[in-house]
Amino acid sequence: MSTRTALSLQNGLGTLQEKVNDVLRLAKQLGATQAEANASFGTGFSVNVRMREVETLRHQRDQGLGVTVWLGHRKGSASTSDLRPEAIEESVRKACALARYGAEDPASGLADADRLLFVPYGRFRGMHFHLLWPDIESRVLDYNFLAIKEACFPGSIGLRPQTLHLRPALFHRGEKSLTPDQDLFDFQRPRTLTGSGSKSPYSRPTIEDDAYIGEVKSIVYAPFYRQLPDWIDAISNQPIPTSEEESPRPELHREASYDWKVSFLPVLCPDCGWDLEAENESCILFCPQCDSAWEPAGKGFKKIGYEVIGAPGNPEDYYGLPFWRLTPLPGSKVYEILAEGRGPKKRSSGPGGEPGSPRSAFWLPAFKISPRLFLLLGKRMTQAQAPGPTRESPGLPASFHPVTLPAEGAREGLSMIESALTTNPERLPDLTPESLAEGCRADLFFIPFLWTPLELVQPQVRLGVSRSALNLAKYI
Amino acid sequence: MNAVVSPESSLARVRSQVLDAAGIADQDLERALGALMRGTVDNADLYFQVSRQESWTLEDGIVKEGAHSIEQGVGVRAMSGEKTGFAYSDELVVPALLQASAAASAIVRQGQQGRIQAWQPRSGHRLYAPIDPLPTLTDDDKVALLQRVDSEVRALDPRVKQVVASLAAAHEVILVCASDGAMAADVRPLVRFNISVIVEQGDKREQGYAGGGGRFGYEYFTPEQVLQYGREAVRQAVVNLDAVPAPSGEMVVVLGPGWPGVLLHEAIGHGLEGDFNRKGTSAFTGRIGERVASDLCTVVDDGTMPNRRGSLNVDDEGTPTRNTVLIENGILRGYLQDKMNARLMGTESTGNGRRQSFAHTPMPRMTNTYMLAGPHHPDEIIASVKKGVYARNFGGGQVDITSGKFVFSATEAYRIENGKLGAPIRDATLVGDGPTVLNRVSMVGNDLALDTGIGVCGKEGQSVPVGVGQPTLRIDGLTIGGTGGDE
Repeated sequence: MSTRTALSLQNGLGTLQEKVNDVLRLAKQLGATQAEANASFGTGFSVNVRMREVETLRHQRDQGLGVTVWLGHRKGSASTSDLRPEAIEESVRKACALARYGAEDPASGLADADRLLFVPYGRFRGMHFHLLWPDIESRVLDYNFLAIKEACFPGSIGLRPQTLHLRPALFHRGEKSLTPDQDLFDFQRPRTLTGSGSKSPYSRPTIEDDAYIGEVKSIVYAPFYRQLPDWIDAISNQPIPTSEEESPRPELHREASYDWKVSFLPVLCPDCGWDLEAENESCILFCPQCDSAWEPAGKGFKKIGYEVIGAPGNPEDYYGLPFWRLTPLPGSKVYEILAEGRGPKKRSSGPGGEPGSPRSAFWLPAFKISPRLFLLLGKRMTQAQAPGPTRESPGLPASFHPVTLPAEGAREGLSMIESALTTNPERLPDLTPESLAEGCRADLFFIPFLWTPLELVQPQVRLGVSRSALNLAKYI
Repeated sequence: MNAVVSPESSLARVRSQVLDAAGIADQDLERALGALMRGTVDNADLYFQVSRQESWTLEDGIVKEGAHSIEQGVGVRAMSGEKTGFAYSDELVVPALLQASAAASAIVRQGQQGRIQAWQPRSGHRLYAPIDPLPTLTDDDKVALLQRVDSEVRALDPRVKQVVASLAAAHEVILVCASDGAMAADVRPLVRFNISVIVEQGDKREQGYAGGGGRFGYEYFTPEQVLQYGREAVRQAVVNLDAVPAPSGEMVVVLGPGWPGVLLHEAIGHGLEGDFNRKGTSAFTGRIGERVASDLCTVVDDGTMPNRRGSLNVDDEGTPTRNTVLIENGILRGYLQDKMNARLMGTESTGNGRRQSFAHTPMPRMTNTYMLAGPHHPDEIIASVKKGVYARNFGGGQVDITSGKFVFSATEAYRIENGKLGAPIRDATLVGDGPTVLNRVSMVGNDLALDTGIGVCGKEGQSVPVGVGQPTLRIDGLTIGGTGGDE
């Protein structure tokens, strides 16, 4: 009997875990050779708009339990949203009945955990900007590649990381995995977008630069198993095509030998003990009770400050979009580079002929969004600087967008914003990530945007962001 | 005539099954509705549902798929003008109910408390037995029935290469209570049998499909009954083996009785739903009292037919269903209404407020929609056509409500030449618009038939079971899109 559970819960974890255990126990009693149960609990909210008026407002609260049992290679499934014991029992019995009549399918069944081999793939996600002054091209990157040298596995797992539900890699049930080759594991950013400067109408050497913003590097483990002579893809249950020559047998590592491992933090406000709130991919968590903001740091949280820019009228009409204000500190390398640009060293600066001072602050989105909009928002906000005074009474905006881009990510966008704003190629900055990391102060601001049916609008800056673009950004 | 069931008895039974089991008392319902009736809320309701569904699919003699699910929950709705606040929870407990009420009422601004009427049990019809169809056959017998039809169908014709047969049943118990005092319950059984076959002859492969069902138990599917569906599926597939490409161009089209009524459902029925007309997006908006069809056409939506798939004792807002005349002798008489659209259009609900489940908001939907019989014998209709097409069965279709334009593909069709059915044709597509087609109906058969009980209607992502039907119809001029060249 092998059992596996997958839980995606926001709360009520204890009770649901018990229910899942009950299911697995009952399935075993009823003769199942393998069983899988999953439980879920969640809430959601949606709004429909017609003729610029809210027409339907929906709130939902879902719970559910699904069970799949195998009697040998026969499979049966059932689901229930009624979590009372009698309904759960009925579902398990029905799943067993369906399995009993089901067809024998040798490929059906959980591949035995001890037969599975998890193969590492490096995954890179992020926004890529390529400067070919005065143009800036941009794209969203999400690609993966085999992170070991053994060639008997596919070079990429395609769109799977984007389409399948991924769970944390916790190899504690004896599943075998391969360790990524160190040099591949430390994979580099991809090379530039075009690499050709021939289109530039300028006679001077082309000015090229790249920036990667909000990148996430991760390792995705894909399951395979051996059925001699083939390796079988355990998701599609199809053998993987192998090259003519026999590839070397991959070296197995039962114990993953990384210097990192997944750990969990209790998401309770260190100040007041309330549940911290955050959405998927948030990098800052907020406490709805004491309005404090927290950044995960090491084995705990670091408190960070934020400011909220006020707006006239009813605060509930506004949605707060988070922005990082990046201020180059005088005396720092960044300050100097921004002041001087990458052009030839300034002519002998006579008395009073000091290099210009850089912009006082850069404003960059603190959330992921399509690269084109990222650039536009950064450019317009930096031109306008802060729209209005900060709100007197601190406290979170009535509703706000999650912070999904950390300050370091936004810092790397600084040179692109400067490049987009400058008209003088000699003033283009040449910033390295190292120089940016220090000498640039980052502060978090919430800027009020008015809700309109299709867009969020900042009236002072006269800037609109499509709401669907914000939604789509979840996939970047 | 259907007997009116004592509302108290069915209510009491459903109450104990849904509310008592979850520990929800009357005062909790009042509290939840009270929380909803704030400010400018015109109407609010709670919809409780407990349902169980199963399906068994046999493919090539083996049970390939089976599913079983239990769903339960409550949908909470507050309506203010044209706005709807809606929340649902699939946990049937008091705190979840109150939380959902608070969320649904968020749509309206603060204000005075609205009023809740005292509950009046609504009398519904008794169109079907309040049974649970799932255990009306043992699992062994369900599988045996599918296996039997599989082998019998294969024995009918050696060209049958693939058989997929399925059995499905649902048992749904609902309870609605609304701020206008409506309180109603319904126990809804639903079963369905489907079979699809693939026949092969040389390098030709054709598919045939048949099925049936309604609001009763599995006992309806006797071995003879399911074999009859199997024969029909094989007949359709075999006919198409000899089919020639369909002609194209505008021509006289005769629609067969029964399932071809799906065209009426799509091209006319949806356009008569209250929401589209309130929003002014239907081809029929503002045309009540006007001639919209030839005087041979009378179209009704009847939710009160015993045991039919589309029938309901009460709709999902607690209003008893009725037989609504939509088009009478060519004159547009009415729309299909739910409570909200009826209120906004100054009329009353026609018992057509339906929803897929507690997790969906109700909207005007059809039940059993069909055209009444006319004076002509079907043979007489075919004989009247010199050159045309006879469409006997349809597959899928699409309709644009605003213009009434539709595209349908016929799965079984024949040429008509000199008043006689000719060769079967394949890939015939019917293109037209609802209002024009209705005006071109020149003969209506005396052979009204309803479909066998397989219809599912989708609208805004919600599926509900429906019935369709019509007698044989002659339409003078409908565009056929085919690959066999212009005629």
